[in-house]
Amino acid sequence: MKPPLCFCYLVLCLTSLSCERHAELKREVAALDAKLKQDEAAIRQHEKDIAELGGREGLTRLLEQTQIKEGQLRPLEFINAPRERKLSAIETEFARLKPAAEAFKAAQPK
Amino acid sequence: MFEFRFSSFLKALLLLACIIGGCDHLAKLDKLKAELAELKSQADTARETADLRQQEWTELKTAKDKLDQLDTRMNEVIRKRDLLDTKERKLTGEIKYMADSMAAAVENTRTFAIGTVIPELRLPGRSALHNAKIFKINDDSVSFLHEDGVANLQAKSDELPMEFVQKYDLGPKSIHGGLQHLIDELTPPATSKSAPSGKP
Repeated sequence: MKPPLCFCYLVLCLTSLSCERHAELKREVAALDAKLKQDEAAIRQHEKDIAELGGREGLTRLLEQTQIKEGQLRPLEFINAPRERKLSAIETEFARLKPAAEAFKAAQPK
Repeated sequence: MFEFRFSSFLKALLLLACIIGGCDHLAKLDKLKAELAELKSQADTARETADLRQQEWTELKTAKDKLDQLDTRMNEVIRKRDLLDTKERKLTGEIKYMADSMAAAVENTRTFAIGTVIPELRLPGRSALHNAKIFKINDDSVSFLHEDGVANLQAKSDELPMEFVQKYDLGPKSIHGGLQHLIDELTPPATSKSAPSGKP
């Protein structure tokens, strides 16, 4: 092979290698760019969701409301259960007394 | 003397082109690498920010869900309380009505019995009373005038025959007493008033 041809071959090889490397880097850049855009979209979405729930200060407000609600709920639940039992017992006792009372009234002298 | 040779000029031109091309390629490569590094840094920051925002949103969502659950529970408890209120009002009304009508019936029965003469009243565990006339009945006892004097027989100490206890609704197990006890149970302690007027 003559030296000029050899030189041309070398130049072609180097050009091909450099183009390949360039393309690979471009692909990496494109992939990273896509990932960045995806993350930015996620950030925007989360910020929108956070704003809908009252912003970052909303957490304190929500926790305070939760605490207040729990404080209101506990005594109500505490009252309801025994009250239900008591009413149920009274209802049972009344159901027992009612027929006897009806019979007594029916038997009274006119 | 200088002799122009085309092939040497071409070689020099080609070499120059190669050098310029190589430099350009390296410059582009450097630019791309710098761009890549910057993008990597931006992507890392964006990832961290996204994670942070997600964490904030998760905390907010958890708190909101908990509050919503509490709201649901609160509504359920209030609904239950309202149902209990209704049930209590209905039960109180029914029991009061029954107690009042029972009080009237007991009063009537006892009034009707005053003056009744029983020729021979057999008593549990003691001698019979002859010509026993009922002259007083209250919640626990019946008083008789009989041939040998006066007798006040208590229902709670089983001095009276069972038929008297049932007929005049006497003693601790009386129907009217039971109804009155239920009314007392239903009435809040602060406003609770045992209504003796309802009793005969």
